[in-house]
Amino acid sequence: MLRFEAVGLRYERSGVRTGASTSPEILHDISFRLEPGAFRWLLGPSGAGKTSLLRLMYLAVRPTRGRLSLLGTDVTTAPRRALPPLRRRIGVVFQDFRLLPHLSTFDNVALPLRIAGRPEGQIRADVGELLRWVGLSRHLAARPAELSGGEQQRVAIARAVITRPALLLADEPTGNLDDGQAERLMQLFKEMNRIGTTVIVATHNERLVSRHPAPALHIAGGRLVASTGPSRSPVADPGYAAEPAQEPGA
Amino acid sequence: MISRSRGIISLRPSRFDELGLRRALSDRMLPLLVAAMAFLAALAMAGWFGAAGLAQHWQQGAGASLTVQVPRASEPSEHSGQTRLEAVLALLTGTPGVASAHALSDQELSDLLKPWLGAGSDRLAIPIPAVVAVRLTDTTADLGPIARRLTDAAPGTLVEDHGLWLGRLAVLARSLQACAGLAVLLVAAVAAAVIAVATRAGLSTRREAIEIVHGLGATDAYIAGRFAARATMLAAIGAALGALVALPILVTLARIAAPFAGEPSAAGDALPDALAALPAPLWLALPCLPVSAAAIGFLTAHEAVRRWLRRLP
Repeated sequence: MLRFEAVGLRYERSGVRTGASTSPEILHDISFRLEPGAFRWLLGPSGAGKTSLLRLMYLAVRPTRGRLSLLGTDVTTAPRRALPPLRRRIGVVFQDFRLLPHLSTFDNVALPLRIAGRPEGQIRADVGELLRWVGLSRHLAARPAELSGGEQQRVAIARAVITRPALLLADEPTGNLDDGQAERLMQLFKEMNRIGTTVIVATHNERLVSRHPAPALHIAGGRLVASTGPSRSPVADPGYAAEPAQEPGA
Repeated sequence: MISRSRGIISLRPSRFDELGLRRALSDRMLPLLVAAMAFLAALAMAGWFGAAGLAQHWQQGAGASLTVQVPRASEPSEHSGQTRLEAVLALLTGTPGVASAHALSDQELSDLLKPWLGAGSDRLAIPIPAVVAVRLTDTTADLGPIARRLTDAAPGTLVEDHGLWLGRLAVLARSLQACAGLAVLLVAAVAAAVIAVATRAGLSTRREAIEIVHGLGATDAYIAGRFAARATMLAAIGAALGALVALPILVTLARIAAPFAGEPSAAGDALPDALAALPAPLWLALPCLPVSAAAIGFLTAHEAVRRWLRRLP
């Protein structure tokens, strides 16, 4: 499903990876494995590398070294043309939403389905239903700029889950939500997880984590330093955070 | 409200502009630039067809005709009882390779000389030789022996081969044609460059949208297709505009040029007369401008976007 083997990542100045780059490495020797249907918090201080780790997982960058396998595809060796179908099976909720400002709420949420070439009738039904569920059915024609931060975040979440992805990644998804909305979002994530979606949520919201106990990937200084979790132990999840535990001083 | 009819299968809405290209590839600048290119291409194509027509016309004339001047035409020939003109005509018609030999009448001769001598040339006391227009069937025939036999029959007879001058004119016309062809190619290359630059500008202004759409799993072909569709439409509109603007100018030029190609100048001002002045091949070539511009737009934008997208993982 998701396997990191001694993955390292460094960026070029423009944000694009090149082998010849001499910029410092952002992530070092990340190794862990997640089975389908897993739920993980991704925790760590700001600048620890959470976003970079997520970027690797949603294929915005490829590893500089090591091996990364996603949804059964080795993305370190896969040809470039193999990546778009893979991306369509991954839903992402970005910290800054990354909505298209010139599109309506409806069109923003419909975008992944249209890229996937789904029939328009099905798109209308699915998007309408989901936007009702997230409480945005009265804002179908609104542009992102006309929505509040919380509403924009709900649009971003709807866009991430509309394709029923196999892997759902969220970067600080509750940052602009009140407690009630955050709870509702967690219910959605748990529901997605229950039907088989692997969910990874990066957050600083400790109250949310304590209310929804689940295993966590702890990252610091670009290294996976620990894995904790009351519901699933590293033993029950083979390969989980094995490598960082063996590294002295990590 | 949203329709819940799940059964409906329809295509992606045609106005769905996920990359915001309606603003990134503006419908002002690019069509105007392509219109200017198409206008120049239309002029160059008219030049091409015009030069081709003249070259063909002159070459036909060069290959197939010569002029024989017989001084003192009505005097008797030295060798027979005929006049010198009759002797020359008899010799010419009996020569293999000669299709026809026609002695110009006084009226025809007068018409021929009118531009130089004025309307009263027949009243001038100048001995004017008889002129025989000869059409040849064999354009490569050696004219030397004929000329010698004609001089024997009627000393002083001049054989003037139009071939040399008309051949030179034909070479000139072919050179002009080559220049026109080169101009068309150059214009096409500049149009491609303009479209490539506009596409690159569009790529940099829509970089974020492209990255988002790319991140949602759009293939290079999908993104390049959006750009190419927009560039194709704008280029086609621009080229159609340029061709339309060029049309009245080309019709005017064609009417001015008609006499040089041996065609009667269209005197009527009626629209059908005016349009008929344009050579048929140009009527076929003008609609090709929007089609070619569309093809250039599609291929250039597609390639530019695909090249740019390779920087994304």
